[in-house]
Amino acid sequence: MGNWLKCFAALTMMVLLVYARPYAGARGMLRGGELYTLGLFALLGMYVMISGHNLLIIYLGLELLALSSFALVALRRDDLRATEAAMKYFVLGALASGFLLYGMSLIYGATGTLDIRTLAQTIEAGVAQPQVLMLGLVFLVAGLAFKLGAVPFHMWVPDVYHGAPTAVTLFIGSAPKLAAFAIVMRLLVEAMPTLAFDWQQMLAVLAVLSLLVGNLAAVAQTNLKRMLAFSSIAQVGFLLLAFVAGVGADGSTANMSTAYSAAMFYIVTYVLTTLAVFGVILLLSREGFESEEIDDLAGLNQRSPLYAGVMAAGMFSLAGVPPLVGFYAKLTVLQALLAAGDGVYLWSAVFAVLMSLVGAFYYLRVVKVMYFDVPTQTAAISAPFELRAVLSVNGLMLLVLGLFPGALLALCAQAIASLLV
Amino acid sequence: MRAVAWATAVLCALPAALWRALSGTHHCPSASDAPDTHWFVFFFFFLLLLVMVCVIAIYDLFLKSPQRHATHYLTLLTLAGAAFLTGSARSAARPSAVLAAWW
Repeated sequence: MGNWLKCFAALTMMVLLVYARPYAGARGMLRGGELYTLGLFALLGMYVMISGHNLLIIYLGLELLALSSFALVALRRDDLRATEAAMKYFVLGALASGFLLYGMSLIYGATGTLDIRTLAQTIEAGVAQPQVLMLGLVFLVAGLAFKLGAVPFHMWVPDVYHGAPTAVTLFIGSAPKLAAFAIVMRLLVEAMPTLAFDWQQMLAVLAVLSLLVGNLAAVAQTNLKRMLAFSSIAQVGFLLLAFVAGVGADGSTANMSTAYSAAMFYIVTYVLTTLAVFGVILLLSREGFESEEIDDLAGLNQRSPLYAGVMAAGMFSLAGVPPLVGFYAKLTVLQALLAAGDGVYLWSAVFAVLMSLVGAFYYLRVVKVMYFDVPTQTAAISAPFELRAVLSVNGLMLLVLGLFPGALLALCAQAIASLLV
Repeated sequence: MRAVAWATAVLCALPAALWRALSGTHHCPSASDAPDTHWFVFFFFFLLLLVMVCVIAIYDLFLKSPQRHATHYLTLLTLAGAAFLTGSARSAARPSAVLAAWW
């Protein structure tokens, strides 16, 4: 799993930098090369998080990623909104790190080890202090929920998405999600499989709340970046549902491989879709103008059918409309939920479908604005060839992977199988 | 420009050659097999990234262009190298092998 996630994280960073360059160049963000060095440091943090098999190593990776991200958000030092977002991100990120570290220290106190494998063996042998362990687990899940942006630990997401320069918003909304998926796998699935029943209940509550709050709040947004922030909260809810489906109510572990590979497929395709959507937003922004409001996309189809097509593909994919890849991602998660059993799993699946319907409203509103509204912007859309080429391929991938998801599904299944052995 | 191109080529070719040489004799640079693996193979990706961050940061000091073309392409090259090396690393779930098997 590690190699595959690291490979995809590096590719994501490449695409991200290609998209970000014209935007960052026009706003003086390339001076000093900080965008590149901080981006690489963040990737290094992700690599450490993905590979880490020790609680402290994982924490160090997380901090490296977090500190780079804080600095990236504040890269436009003269922009009041960006510095405010960076401050909020820093304070709440530090709080989340505190939760996570406190959880780790309690788990260490209960088990006497920081190594993931030994931790799993100690818990399975039943020699760990149950009360301390459970308290540690609660803090750990709270810290992870903060980092993932799940409700009720989501308050930083809309403000940071909105306040950060769009190129950095793209970064926050894409590559770190892969690392977050990896640490959930390491800290919960690999380290505490015997406590799955306990953490699955916590994740189920977080998932349902994220789906509800994320989708309902997104409906009310007029700012595109804020809408996508709430959308990301809702998507995290869907992702968490896949983790909930891992171990059945009867303790059966037969569904683990299906559920976790569905989660991996979901996060990879979500990152791919986010890249395409933010790629178009970056492309439409120009010096002195941020294409942030939904109304800024009005009549985009008349100005550029290609970019409108890519944006529409991204929106349809996020909404889960076939034949785009987002549909398959949602389908695999729902299949995993239904395979896990009846009762709470079935109702979770029904709730997720209902919330997807709510989600479809605000995603399709963007498509409606692009195709049926009169253009409010008349400026020509210009972009370097490499950006246009990568964006076109990115948009095409959403369709191709939706039509032929077999390769990616096989990769995810193989990656998860190697982890669960 | 020629000197820059040569330096870039050497910087990228050296780690790749080293990687090839080492991965021929050792298995699986994945985290789960770390204790049985040569430490350098396991830490290779991290070292590559760390070294390249330093190289890019120092190299950028000497650039005058506000567009930072060289820094941009050097970063992309580093990322491509990291993606290639992690994608072709020897492990049970090696992405290239899985894709080839699927194909």
